[in-house]
Amino acid sequence: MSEYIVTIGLEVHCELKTESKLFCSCPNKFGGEPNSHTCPICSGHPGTMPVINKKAVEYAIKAGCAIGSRINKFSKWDRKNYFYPDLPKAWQTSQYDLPLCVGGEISFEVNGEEKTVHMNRIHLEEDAGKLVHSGGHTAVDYNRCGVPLIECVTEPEIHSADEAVAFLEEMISIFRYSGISDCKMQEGSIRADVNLSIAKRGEPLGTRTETKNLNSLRSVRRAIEAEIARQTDVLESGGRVVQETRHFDDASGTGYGMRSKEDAQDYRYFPEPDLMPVVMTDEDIERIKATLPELKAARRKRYTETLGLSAYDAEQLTDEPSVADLFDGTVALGANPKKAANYVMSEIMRKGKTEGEDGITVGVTAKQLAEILALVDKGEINLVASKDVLDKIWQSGMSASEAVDALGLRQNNDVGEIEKLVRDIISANPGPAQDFRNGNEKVLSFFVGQLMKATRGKINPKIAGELVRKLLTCS
Amino acid sequence: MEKITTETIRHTAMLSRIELTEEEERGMTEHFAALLKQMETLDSFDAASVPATAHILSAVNVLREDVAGEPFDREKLLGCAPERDENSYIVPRVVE
Ligand SMILES: [Zn+2]
Repeated sequence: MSEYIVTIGLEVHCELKTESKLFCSCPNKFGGEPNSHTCPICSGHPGTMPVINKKAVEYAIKAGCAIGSRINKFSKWDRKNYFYPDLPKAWQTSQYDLPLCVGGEISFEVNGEEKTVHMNRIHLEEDAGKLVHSGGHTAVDYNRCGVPLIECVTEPEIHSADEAVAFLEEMISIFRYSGISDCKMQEGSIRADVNLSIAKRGEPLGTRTETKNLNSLRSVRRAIEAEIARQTDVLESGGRVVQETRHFDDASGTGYGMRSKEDAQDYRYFPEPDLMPVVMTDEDIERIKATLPELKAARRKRYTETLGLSAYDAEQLTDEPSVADLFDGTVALGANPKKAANYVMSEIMRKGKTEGEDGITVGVTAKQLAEILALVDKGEINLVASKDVLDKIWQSGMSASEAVDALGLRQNNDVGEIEKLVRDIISANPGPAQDFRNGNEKVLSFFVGQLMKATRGKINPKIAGELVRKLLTCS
Repeated sequence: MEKITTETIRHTAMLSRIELTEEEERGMTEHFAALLKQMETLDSFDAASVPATAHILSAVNVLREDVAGEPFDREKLLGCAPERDENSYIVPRVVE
């Protein structure tokens, strides 16, 4: 099987995070009662006229800027004709020969190696509705119809399931950092079509098939692996691969061909007479480009090269844009980068993960977190107590020091008081005290633990440790 | 120019989900051919110096701000459908 070269091109559909739909003012919201976000425009009534959403155009251009595309200063709209009930007009308003963005590239790491995939184009189009098949009929919901989508088409430069998944992960990260899409696979806001062919080394490209509508990274991987195996079987048994559109069934893990085959010509694209072209100046493009934040790859690099974090930590911190923003904000407020990184990766990510359903919920602001870290630094609370503080201020406007007072957690730094406590603990535990005098250093942490327990963590462990050592050695 | 055959007509009819009788197919074949013949008139016009036009009007950038409005009354929309249930349009079962 390994003697075949696999060639894959992806078409990724990604819903944009606008307030309203692409051609009407219906809300762009996931879910809701069927047909509760529709109007005569997005349900395709004759005589209605679409008007383009400016933000959707800007987001598509922003996506292009994020991956280094050339932005077409003149782009236009076309009708892609096909009959299917998810599309009430019987055509999808899309862009054919003059898309908003041309070219560009995405670099990512796969199995330890740097890889770059070039983009063919990004164009803006409308999403279709949803069909629910049951019994002898189909129910149609147009809530999703008219939601702005970008279709991102790669050059056929991907050669394995690993590369396809790593590419998609990087693209999702770029779009999420750019703030143009949530890219929530489980809500269908990002979906991929896989064009795949195989050929022996040195031979011309094989016939490709297109597997449509894969809506998780896992299905992308499984569909690619299944299709490589299928095409290999076909060729090995002397057959030939037929150009066709296929579906992948997640439940059975197998793909199947669809009866109707539609080549590009059958969509009978023609210019959309109801929409005017979009013209962008250099200044427009620069203005949109300037709204792009620092993306994941750049932050990862800065975290390791400027802040001195490990590659692993930089990767962890940049996985979610909201986490990276919190970390950056906290460091900007004066926190030590390494301490802030450790705290975010342990406490914030643990807490955010248990409470959030999708990714990580960041329940504190940089200001709140910077204050917690400053309080720990100054010895006013210890790390154990800081977790209670975090619980208290999580998703509330309370400041860390207000929470410390409300919880009565301010750490005891009074050497005299701590010394008295240490003496009590030592006399209550003569056995371990003798162990220490006999040279067992490990007993020290037992005593500190006892002290923390007795004071519910309100003691400075450093001072306590020093005092235990001092009192045990000189008594 | 491509010759209009019965095959062209059948393909176009299939894409448009229209059923034609044999007589209609013959009629359409002649009709399509006549239409294309008329289009050939344009060939006599020297368009070499005319830039391609994306739209017959000269207006560009007709855009609206991204503000969500109130959705339309669903009952009014569903009421136009030949078949419906409580909240959806009902069509014959289609699985592609
Ligand atoms: Zn609408």
